[in-house]
Amino acid sequence: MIETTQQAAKLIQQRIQRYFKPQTRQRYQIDVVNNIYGPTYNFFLNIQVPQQRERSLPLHRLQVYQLNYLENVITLLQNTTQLTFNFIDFKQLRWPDKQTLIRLGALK
Amino acid sequence: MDYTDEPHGVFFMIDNKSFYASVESIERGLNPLRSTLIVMSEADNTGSGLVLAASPQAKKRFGISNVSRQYEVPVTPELLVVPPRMNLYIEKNLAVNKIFRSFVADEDLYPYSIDESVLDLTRSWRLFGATPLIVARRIQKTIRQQLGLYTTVGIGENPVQAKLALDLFAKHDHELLGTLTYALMPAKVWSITNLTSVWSIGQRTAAHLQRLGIHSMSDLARVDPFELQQEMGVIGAQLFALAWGIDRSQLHELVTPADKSWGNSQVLPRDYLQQKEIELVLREIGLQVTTRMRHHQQKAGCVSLGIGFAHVAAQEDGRSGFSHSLRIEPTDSNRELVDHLLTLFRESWAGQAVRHIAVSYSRLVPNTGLQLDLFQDPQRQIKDDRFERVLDSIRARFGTTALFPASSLLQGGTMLSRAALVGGHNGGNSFD
Repeated sequence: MIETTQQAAKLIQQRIQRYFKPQTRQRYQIDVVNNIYGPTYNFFLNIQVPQQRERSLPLHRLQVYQLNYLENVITLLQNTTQLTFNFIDFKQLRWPDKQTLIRLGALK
Repeated sequence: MDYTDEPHGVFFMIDNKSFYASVESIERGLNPLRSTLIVMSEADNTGSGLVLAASPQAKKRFGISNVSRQYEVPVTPELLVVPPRMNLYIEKNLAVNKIFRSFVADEDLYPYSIDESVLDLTRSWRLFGATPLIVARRIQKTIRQQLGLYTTVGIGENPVQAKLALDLFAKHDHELLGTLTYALMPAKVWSITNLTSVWSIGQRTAAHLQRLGIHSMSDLARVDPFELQQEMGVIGAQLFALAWGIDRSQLHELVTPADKSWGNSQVLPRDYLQQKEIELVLREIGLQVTTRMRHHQQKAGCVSLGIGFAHVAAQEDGRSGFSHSLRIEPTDSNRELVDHLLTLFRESWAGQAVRHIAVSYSRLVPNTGLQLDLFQDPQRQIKDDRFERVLDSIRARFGTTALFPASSLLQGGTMLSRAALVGGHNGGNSFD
């Protein structure tokens, strides 16, 4: 069964809620990785406490390897979370709809 | 030594470099050889945390080894800590072996562990390159291109040489390649004095060899094999063959163990002192092993129980634990098997704190039907049997936690928290 963008976004959102326990002086960001070997788009929640080890918790792997699918998922997620998205290994790829460089940041 | 009659093939032993850490690096867009990442299990029974794998850079820069404890790992923002995802590693292992199958026939591939495989390229290497070394490089390149993983290749004329070449040379080689042949054994292997660095020699075997005056591989190669066999049994002869790089195993002839058994063991999340708590876990493990055995339509004729004491209890007692076996009338009844386990436990346990429990069922016989006991109500026996089978089929269809004894909810039960684990560690998200 192919996962819809809504299902994927909901699952990621649920996991963010489970792991994201905001505390002062901690940095949280969502890493979105273009994994060419999957090929998949992988989501991680990175947590950095000053002077501590960085932690990276897996949120989801999108099996549908299409940029417009990813763009939809990101749009849905941005409606529910204010966390920073960090795009990794997207090189010169652009969002199909907005035509901005993906690596420069999220859609909004 | 005359090697004329020994097998002369082309065997590769291929290992994925820091497998779990490499898979996690690639998933995060990092280069596996440059990332400083550790995979840390924080399951209940690992204490504060256990390092399952460390990337080569994490090992080099911070001196972290696999199985390091959480408190031994330096606290620095440069280290990336990630939880294990066993299901993902299994998926990647299958993908790696699929690539191997494009170089050898199915029967010439022998997966050795989650990150190691033996390939018999004797018949196929010429199809892929002018020399085995070129073929090895080609396999490395294919896996790197398709999966991003780095692999280490040991090449030998038989499986044991390939394994030794991998462990002793390839892992330290710049190109991640190592070669060993019969002729190279004296020059490359015999100088080794750290015997435990050699495959199949552990601490105890090494100590035994030391007592016999064997302090290097060269000593081992020059010993009288018959005397060594007399002293150490069949292992003695095997070690002598190892020193000369001799291995006559045929990978395609699968070895069927003489006495197969079903078993499970677990390290408890804390020291268990109360009898009812220990017995609860014992029942849970017993049930799990029975279910697996029944799935294979077998009955057990022998139950074995191993108990490991907690560290302090072991020091006070002088023993690290105990283990006992009991021959029984073959049965697959969970109730009967668990009763036997409890009897074994109660006979030997004298209040020590317990940290490790192992259960196994052996002397297996095929289940050809229910053997009625003359001294019990036959209707009752048939009903009990049918009841257990219904439980089995429900668990087979809906998972092991679909139906479980209410006792597993009591304090001390481990079954529910372990149900989602794979190989004792976090399997990863269920919908990845």
